[in-house]
Amino acid sequence: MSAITCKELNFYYGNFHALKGVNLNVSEKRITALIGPSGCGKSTLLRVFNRMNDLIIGSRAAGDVKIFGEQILGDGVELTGLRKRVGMVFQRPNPFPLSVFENVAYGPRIHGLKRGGGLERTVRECLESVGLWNDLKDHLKENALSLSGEQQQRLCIARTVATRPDILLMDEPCSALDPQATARIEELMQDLKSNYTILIVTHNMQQAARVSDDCGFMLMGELVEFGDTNRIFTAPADKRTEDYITGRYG
Amino acid sequence: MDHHIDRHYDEALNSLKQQILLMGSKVEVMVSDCVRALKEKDTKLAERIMETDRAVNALEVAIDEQCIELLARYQPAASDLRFITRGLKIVTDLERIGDLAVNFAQRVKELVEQGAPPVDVTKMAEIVQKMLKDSFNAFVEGNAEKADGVFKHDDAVDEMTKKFVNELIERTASEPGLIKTAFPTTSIIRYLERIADHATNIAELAIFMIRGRDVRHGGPK
Repeated sequence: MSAITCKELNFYYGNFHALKGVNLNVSEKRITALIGPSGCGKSTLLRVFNRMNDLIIGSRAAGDVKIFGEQILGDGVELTGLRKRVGMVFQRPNPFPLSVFENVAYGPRIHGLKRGGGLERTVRECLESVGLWNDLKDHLKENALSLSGEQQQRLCIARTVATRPDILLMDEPCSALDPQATARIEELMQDLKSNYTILIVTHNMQQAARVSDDCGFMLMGELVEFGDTNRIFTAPADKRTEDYITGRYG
Repeated sequence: MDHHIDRHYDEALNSLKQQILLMGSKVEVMVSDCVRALKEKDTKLAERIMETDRAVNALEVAIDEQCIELLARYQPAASDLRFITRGLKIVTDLERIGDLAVNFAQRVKELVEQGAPPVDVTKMAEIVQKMLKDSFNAFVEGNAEKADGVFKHDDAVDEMTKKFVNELIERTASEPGLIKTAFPTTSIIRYLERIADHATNIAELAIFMIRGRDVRHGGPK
């Protein structure tokens, strides 16, 4: 089943046409990567799916975007519910200046979960799912800002999955991490794939090749090519994709 | 062809291509020299072929190293990845053709001592040389049509091999004195057939490199 369906999506920042007629199907419980040069629109596209672009004054989306069959563009969409369902992990780890426990508990608490009512279990499960529980179970009261960069990013992923989303959007989630931490986050993504649909934006083409099942190449607001990652990286159909992933210029 | 943004990568790929070209042209010359040595009963030329083989072997090692270095340093993708990985394989075929040419040259020396070959393999040798030339050019020029042409000749070479070998068996049965020339001639026919097989392999590698489709073992061309 398609987790995300996008038809003739156009997006504007004021007069700037940032996304041009994007058509895309993101399959459920797979990792989909979006690659392309800076300014090609890949982060804009990612942020369409949880309406994060709404925060930018003068931005406007037109077209048809569905999350598991439900239209998410337009005025009637309940954004808190959408963002619970479509979580986001950012480029730089951004834990709240709270304890480890409170970072993970933050979302579930907003959605009504209380201590003694399953909150502790949820926090534990989320920390386990990102491989942090064993390291942090005795440090749950420590400030999250004291953790290493990799631990902070894992914690942010735990915080995102704590609201039980269907889709995880990841915008350059490893760009602030060293290669070993990157490898461990990539391994975590593979583990999370069985429960979540993951859409990742990355500048690192090798990372897209390593972690994704499907891959899309974007250029100047267009989705130039989309398909199986093996095919995209060994035999792309479009010359623009070929030129980009081989590092050529025309 | 468009250039890579990284000039050093561009230069390394071009250098690899030049080395493969050099190895391929040496091997082509080895095979054509074998045919000429057979025709002209030239034992000195046959010996030179054996010397060329050392250079071909050294090129195989050097090209392997270049390919591995490119893979390790640049993590190539798409057409570059196909070129480098097929390059790693093509040198094995070229090296084997070089070895077969050496064997061919040794049989030529035997035939010069024993007498003329009992069958004329000129036509077969011409087809095999064309297959080798076309398959290699298909690879270096990225010309899929040339590779397609190679497949058509492979069956003809197999038929010729069968026909010649049967003829030699029949004739040696009735003329036992022919065995001294029939034996090395049969070997030469087998070498030509195997060179044709390697040329077919190279054509298949060229198709993958150009079209991104694996056509080995009956895959769609």
